[in-house]
Amino acid sequence: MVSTADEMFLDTEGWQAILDRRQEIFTDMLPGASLGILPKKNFDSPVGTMLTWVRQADRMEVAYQSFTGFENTSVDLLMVVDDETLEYLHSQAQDNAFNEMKEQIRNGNVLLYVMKTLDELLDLGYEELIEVLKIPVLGACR
Amino acid sequence: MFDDKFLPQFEQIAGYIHDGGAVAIQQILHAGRYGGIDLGYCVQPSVVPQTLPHFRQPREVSKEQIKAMITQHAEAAKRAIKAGFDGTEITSFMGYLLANFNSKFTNRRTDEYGGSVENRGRFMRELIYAIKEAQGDDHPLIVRLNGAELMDAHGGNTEDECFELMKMAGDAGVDMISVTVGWQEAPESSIGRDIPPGHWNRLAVRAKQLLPNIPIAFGVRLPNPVMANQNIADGEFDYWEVCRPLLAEPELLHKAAEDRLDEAKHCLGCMNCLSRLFRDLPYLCTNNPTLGHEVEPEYHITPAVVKKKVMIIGAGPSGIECAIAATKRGHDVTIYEKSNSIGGSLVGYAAYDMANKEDLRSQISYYKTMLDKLGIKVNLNTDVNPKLMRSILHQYDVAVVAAGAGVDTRGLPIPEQEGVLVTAADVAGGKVKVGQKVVVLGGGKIGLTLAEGLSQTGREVTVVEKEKRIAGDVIPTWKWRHTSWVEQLKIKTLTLSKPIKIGASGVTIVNEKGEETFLQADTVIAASPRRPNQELFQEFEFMVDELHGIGDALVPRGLLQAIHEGYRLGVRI
Ligand SMILES: Cc1cc2nc3c(=O)[nH]c(=O)nc-3n(C[C@H](O)[C@H](O)[C@H](O)COP(=O)(O)O)c2cc1C
Ligand code: SF4
Repeated sequence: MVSTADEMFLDTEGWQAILDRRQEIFTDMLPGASLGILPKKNFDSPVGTMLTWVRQADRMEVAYQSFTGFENTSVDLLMVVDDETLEYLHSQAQDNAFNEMKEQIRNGNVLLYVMKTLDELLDLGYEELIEVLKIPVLGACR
Repeated sequence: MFDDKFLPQFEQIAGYIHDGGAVAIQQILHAGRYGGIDLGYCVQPSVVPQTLPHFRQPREVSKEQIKAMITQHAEAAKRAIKAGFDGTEITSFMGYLLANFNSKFTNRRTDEYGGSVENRGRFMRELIYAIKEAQGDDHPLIVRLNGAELMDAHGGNTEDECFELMKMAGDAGVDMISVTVGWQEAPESSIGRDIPPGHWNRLAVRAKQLLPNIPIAFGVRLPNPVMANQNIADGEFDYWEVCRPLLAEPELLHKAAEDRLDEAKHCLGCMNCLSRLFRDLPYLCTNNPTLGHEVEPEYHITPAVVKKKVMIIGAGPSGIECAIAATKRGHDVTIYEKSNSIGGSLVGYAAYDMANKEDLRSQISYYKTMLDKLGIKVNLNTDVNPKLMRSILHQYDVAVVAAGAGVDTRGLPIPEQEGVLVTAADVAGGKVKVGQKVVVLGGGKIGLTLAEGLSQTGREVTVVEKEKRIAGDVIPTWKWRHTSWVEQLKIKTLTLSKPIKIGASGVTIVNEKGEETFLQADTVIAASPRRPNQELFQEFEFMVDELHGIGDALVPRGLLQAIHEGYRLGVRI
């Protein structure tokens, strides 16, 4: 039973279940494509742990990496979330967690950083995820 | 402005501005977070990755580089004055370099250039001192500063911090402050069509109250000169700034001065200009086909060598644009319109538009004025068909098919009861009564606009789209707006689905997995695919000397293409 935000963050099985429900989003991704989820509190600390989703040959898989700053990370996309949002996303495992993620990105509760250019992301097979999360790829210009 | 080699070009520009009777101010802009197109990376106070994948990844500037950048700005200012400019401007909005230093979102430095507002503002103060010293007291320096960054979610500056920085700029001796709003990557609208004109004036008012002795310039999403004039008279700010309205109507100021504003085209707030820049393409303007082509004779209105009698079939934007340009060249133009009003599909769009309806309506008012002032004959309620053509044979030298597009219902199941299935045009034109439960077939811009408008009036609306995604034909910068409205209004969307049966009480649809669903509906609206009204091309081939087609009658697209093609044909025939 996981109940605290920290436990939820480290709940490999729970996150894998979220991914497994929507593996079709990642079908076109090249092996090695990866996305990081970083708790806000780890963001400013010199060393923190980052939850990652890494595309393996057959599926998207959950793993953990250390985070030592934007400069050193190799993930393609990075989501920074506060505890409350993390708990909420985790609790959506049985429902449409990706829809919720899209909402939270739009509301600003999930801060999404892109570490690659659009062309690079498309080459890595991110088109479907970009669409599912409604990432404003062509600039906001609003 | 970074090298003397550009001086001759800048001298020319300053000369043009002075010849027009205006004061010439050169903006010096280091694009910071949004720059580095040629470098493949951008420089910033700290490494804060992009939130939009269009931009390049950051590198942190060293203190030596900061000093060098300040010197480069000062040298650029000196160069601008040497080229004949009266003053210069630096800009801290939209997320360019100065904004990157000012904002706590992008400035995470731990040295004297980061941390407190005082420290983050150090770069700006040093820039102001250096530029003022370089260009001398006789030449004003303006700074553009955000009244609101709209970057709160990312930990950007609060409004209070923005105004603290504004005060700091004032104290540092800047001669005028331009109040702006938003960053490129701000998640909410600042200058789009969904923002009503005048929405942000409160920020200018706050700046004026904070700095009563410094001239305040303002103009974000304030497209109407009459409104701006009133704001100035009311003491809200001192100078009106204007960007897009001048792109849409370069003669705006002259027309205002000559009391001819009804002849001025309006900025529609559609953002096609900026979205092109995001593709690293030269900008253009939906409403001004000549923008960016000013020196090309092919875009100029010149007297026609052979004056012709021109008939235009369709009084939508493409037909009217063509008529206006051709008439100005001396042709004798008559428009034939099947319906009882001008404006074509724009009228329906405007009626259901969730953004600022006035933007689209202003276009129709402009067309009415111009048709009237230019004495262009418009025959409303006149269906142009071979019979009519035979009756007016040889009266015209040119016929232009600008009849727009309709919805192609041929691929839909035949309705089991008459009256259940209607077209988008019928609804938009107010020809049919729409029931409480509505199914819209087609989730493109027409279907979505109708769905949103109908939903807003309390109807229960479902959109059925055969493609994987809705809003496929919507320009990239407006897609989010539709999807966001659709969610807000709780409009149900079913993609990868198509209707297989339209009965008296609803539609049966099937999805890509072969699953059938029945959707109850009082009204089923066919909104796509669109089909160009091209029948007349073949029928008229041997009835008139020149036959042309423009706008949706060629390929159904949008307002931009209609306006541009209409104009381009008008200046050519
Ligand atoms: C195509 C385009 C290019 C722009 N380039 C600049 C620029 O280089 N520097 C700047 O300070 N503002 C720039 N802006 C912003 C405008 O100066 C202005 O603040 C903004 O468009 C809002 O004013 P408006 O509603 O009158 O267009 C640009 C705007 C557009 C539409
Ligand atoms: S493209 Fe649209 S927003 Fe831009 S200036 Fe033209 S009408 Fe205005």
